[in-house]
Amino acid sequence: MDAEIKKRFKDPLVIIYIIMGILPFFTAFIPATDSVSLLQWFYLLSAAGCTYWFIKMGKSYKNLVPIFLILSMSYVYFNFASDGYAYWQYPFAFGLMASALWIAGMDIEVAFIIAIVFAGATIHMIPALLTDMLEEIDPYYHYKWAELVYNTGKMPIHDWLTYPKIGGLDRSTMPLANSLSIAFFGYIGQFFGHTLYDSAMLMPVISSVLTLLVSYVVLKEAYWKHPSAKYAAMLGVFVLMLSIGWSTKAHATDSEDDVTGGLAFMAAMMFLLMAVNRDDVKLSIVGGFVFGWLITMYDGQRLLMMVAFLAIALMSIIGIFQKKNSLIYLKHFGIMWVLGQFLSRFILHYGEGIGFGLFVPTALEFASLALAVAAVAANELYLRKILDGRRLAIVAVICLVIAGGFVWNQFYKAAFIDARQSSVVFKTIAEQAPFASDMSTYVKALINIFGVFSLISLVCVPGLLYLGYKEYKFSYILFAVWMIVLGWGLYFKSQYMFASSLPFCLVGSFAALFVIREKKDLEGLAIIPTLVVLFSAMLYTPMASIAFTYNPTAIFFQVAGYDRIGWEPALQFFRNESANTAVVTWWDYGHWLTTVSHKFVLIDNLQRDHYEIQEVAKFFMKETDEEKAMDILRSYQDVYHGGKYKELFGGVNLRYAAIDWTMIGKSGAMRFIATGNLTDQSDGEYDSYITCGFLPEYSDVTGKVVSQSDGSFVMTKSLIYGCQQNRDGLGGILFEVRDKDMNVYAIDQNGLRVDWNSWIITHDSSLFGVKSPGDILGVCMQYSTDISRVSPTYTNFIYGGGKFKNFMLARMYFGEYIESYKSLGLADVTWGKMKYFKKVQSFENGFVDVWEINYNGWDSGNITVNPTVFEY
Amino acid sequence: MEPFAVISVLAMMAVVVFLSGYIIVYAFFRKWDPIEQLVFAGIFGMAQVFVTFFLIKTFFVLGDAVIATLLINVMIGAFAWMGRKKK
Repeated sequence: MDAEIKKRFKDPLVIIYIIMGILPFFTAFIPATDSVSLLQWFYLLSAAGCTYWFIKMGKSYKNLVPIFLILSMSYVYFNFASDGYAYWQYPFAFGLMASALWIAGMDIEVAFIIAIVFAGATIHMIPALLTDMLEEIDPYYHYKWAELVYNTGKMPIHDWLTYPKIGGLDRSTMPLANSLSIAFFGYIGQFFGHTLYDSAMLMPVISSVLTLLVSYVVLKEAYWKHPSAKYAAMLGVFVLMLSIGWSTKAHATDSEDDVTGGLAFMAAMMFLLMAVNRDDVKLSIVGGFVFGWLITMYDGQRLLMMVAFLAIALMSIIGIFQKKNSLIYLKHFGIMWVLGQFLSRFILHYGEGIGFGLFVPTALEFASLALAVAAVAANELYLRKILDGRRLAIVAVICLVIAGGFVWNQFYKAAFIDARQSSVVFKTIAEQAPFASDMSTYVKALINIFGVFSLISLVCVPGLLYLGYKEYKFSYILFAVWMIVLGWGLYFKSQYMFASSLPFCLVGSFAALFVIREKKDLEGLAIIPTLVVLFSAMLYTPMASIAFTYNPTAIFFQVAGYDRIGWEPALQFFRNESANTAVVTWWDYGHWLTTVSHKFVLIDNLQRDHYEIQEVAKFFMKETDEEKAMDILRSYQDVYHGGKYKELFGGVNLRYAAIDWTMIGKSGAMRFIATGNLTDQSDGEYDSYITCGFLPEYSDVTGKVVSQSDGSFVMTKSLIYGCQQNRDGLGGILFEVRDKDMNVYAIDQNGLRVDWNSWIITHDSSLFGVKSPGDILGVCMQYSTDISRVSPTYTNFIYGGGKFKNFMLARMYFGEYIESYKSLGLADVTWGKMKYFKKVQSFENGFVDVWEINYNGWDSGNITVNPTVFEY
Repeated sequence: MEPFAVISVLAMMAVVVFLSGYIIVYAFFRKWDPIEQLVFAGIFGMAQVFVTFFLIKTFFVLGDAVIATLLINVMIGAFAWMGRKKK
C-alpha cells in the first residue's frame, strides 16, 4: 500500500464512513428501537461533521459530494425505518464502506464490486432470517432430490411417489444439477455442523451474488472497449440487485433451479462474448463446459441457444449488407453448443450406451442450428462472390418456403408460447397464462415488477439494433434479440417472469453509454439520457419508493406464505404415518407431501398425467355419489396393490384424503378440469364455490337498540359478509343477531334484501362453512377490530348452488357442521352420513382437514375428531 | 434461521466455491484482471458440480464424488504450481 493511500486511511472522514458501515450490524444484538435511535443520532452527528469537513476542505474533496448525498439520504432513510425498510441498513452499510474505500483511493470498480458482493448477499439472505422454511412449492421438488442424493449417495432413477397409473416418473435422465449442488454443499457442510436443509435455504444467495458478478462482466464484455463500459455495467448490476422481478426467485429459501440456472445462463453468455471479443477458442471450450453445466441444470438452455443462434443469423444477414464475415460467431457458439450438448448428454444418459439417439437434436435445436448455419452459409457465399445478390435472394426465398414454417413453428410454439397452453389442465395454471391482456396492462405490470428501468430496456432495443447494424457488433444484436424474445415471451406467458428479469434489468444499461462522461457534456444533449437513466435507477432505492408505487421492501418478504405454514402440522402428521401410505388431495400439495412427509400422492405439481389429475378433480368436484367417488379411489388402490408397488413396497395403501381451505378457491379450476375434455381439450364448466368474507367496516358488532312491534326494545347486531363474483347475483349476506333469534338476508347486487330461506329455494343453493355458524359469527364479533389475523375458516361462509351442493369436497369439508347450518335455515341439502370417510384430524383451525378411508365402510357411526384448540 | 447460522453457512459455501474455483483460475487464468479472476473462480467453483454429476453417474456415491471433484481441482492446481516453479 503506497504512502498516499495509507495517509488517506487516516482521514477522519474515511474512518467515520467505515464505522458507519460496520455499525448497523451490531443492531442484530441490541433491541431494534434502541439501535435505530442510536444510529439516527450517530448518522446525524456524522452528517454534520462531514458537512463541516467538506466545507473546510473545499474543492480538493470533490469526490465527497455524492458520498455526502448518500450519507444524508441514509439519515432520511433511518427516519423511515420500520418493517421491511429497516433491513435496508445492511446493504446500505456496505455501500458506505465501499464509498470509504473509494475515498481512500481504491479503484472505483473494485470498490463497487466489494459493495455489490456484500450488499447483494445481505439483501438476498434476509428471507432466511425471517423463516426456517423453504418457500412455497417448487423449491421442495428440488430439495426432494437433493435429500435423496444426500441419503442414498446416488442420483434418482425413478419417482414412485406420484402418478401411479403411469407407473411413476422416470428420473434417470433428469437435469438435476441444482439438486446435486444442494447435496454437494450439504455434504461438505455436515463437517461444519450444517444440515442439508441449510444448504437448500442459502445456496440461492451464493448463486445470486455470483449472478451479479457475472452480469457485471457480461455487460463490460457487451460494451467491449467503450469508454463508459464499466459505468454502464455498474448501473445494470445495481438495477438487477434491487429488482423485485429477479428477486422473486433469487433469494434465500428458494432452492429452485432458476437462480443457479440463471447463473449458468449468464456465465455461458459471458464466455460467448469473451470468446467472440478475443476470438479465442480456449474460451469457447471453457464456455462449452459451462454450457454443458447449464444443460444439466434447467430448461433455460433452450432460450440461450435460440437467442444466440437467432443473433448469429441476424449478424449474417447484416454482414451481407456490411460486407462483414459472420463465421466467427457461429464458430465460437458452435463449439460451446456442440461441446455442451455432448458432455451433458453423455452424463445424463450415461449407462444407456453411446447410441445414435444421443446425438439427435430436438426439433427446436435443429431449427435454431439450421437457421444459423443457413444464414452464415449465405453470408459466406455472398462475400466470397460464389452467389450474387439476385441468386442469393432466390435461394433464401426457396429456403424460407421449405423450412420457414417449421422454424417459425418451433420458435413460436415451443419456446415462446408453449403449445401445452391449449390443454385443459394448463389453462387453469397461473404461470401458463399470459402476463398481460393488452399493452397498457403489460407496461404497468412491467413497472410494478421490474421498475421503470425495464421500459428503458425496451426502448434500447431499436438503438441496439441500429448500432449493432452500423458498428456490426454481435453483443448489441445478441442483447436486442434477448430482449425481444423474452419481452415478447413474457407477454404471452407469465412463467418467463424470472428469465426475462435479466434482460429487463441489464439491457437498459446500454443507455448509460450515452450519458455524461465529461464536464463539458453537461451543456450538451447528453444531459437528457443522463437524467432519465439516473432517475430510473434511483426509483429502486428506498427513498424514491416513498414517492412511487414500486415497493423495494417486497424483495425481503419472498418467503413461505400462510398456505405453506398452515400445512406444516398436517405434513408432520403424515410424516409419522407408515412409509407405504398414500394421500389423495389436489396437486398443489404433491411436492410438500412427497418431500416433507415422504408419502405417496396421486398427482403433484408437475401436472405430468392429465388423466390422473382429471380423475382426482372428478373425485372432489364432479361426483355427488359417494360410491362413484369411491370407485375412483378403488381404481388407484388396485394399482397400488399390484405390479411394482407390491414388489418394491409390499403394496401401498391409499389411506387418507386431505382438503385445505385454498381448495375452495381452486374449486373452479378443479370443476373446469373435471368437466373438460382431454381428448379434444375443449373447456370444462366455469363455476366454483364462492367465499363470503366478514366485512367489519360495514358491520355493527357493538349493536344498537331498536324498537319492536310490541313496543319493547331489543339490542341488534348486524354482521355483513361480502360474497365474491356475484354468483346468482348474490352480493353479500346480512346476519341480524338479536337477543334470542337471528334474521338472515341475502343482499343482491342491487343492494336489496331478500329473506335467506327464499333465496336458497329460488336459486337452489346453500350456505356452508368449515366451522359452525355460531362459531363464525361469535369469532367475527369478538375479533372484528383485528379480523385479518383470524383463520379464514372462522371469517368466511361458503356459497354454492345446483350440483355444487353435493360434491364430495363439500360433503367432506363442510359436512361436520352441516346440521347446524340446516337447523338455522342456512343450508338446504340432504346428505347422508359418509360411509367410507372418517375425519381423523383437523389442523390449524380447519385450514387442513384429513379423512381416513375405509374401503369396506366404517362400522361405527361416530365421527372421531381431534380438534385443535382455537388460538388467537 | 439464526443470523449466526446464516453467516456461517454462507461463509462455508463462499470459501468452498471461491477457493476451489480459484485453483482453476490459478492454473489457467492467473494473468487476467482481478475482477475477472474473482468471477471465474465463482463460476468454476459452482460449475465443478458438473464434474460431480459425471462422477456420481459413473463410479462414485455422493461423498466420494465430492471429494474426488475437489481432489481433481487440487491436482490441476498442483500441476499448475509445479509448472510455474519450473519457469
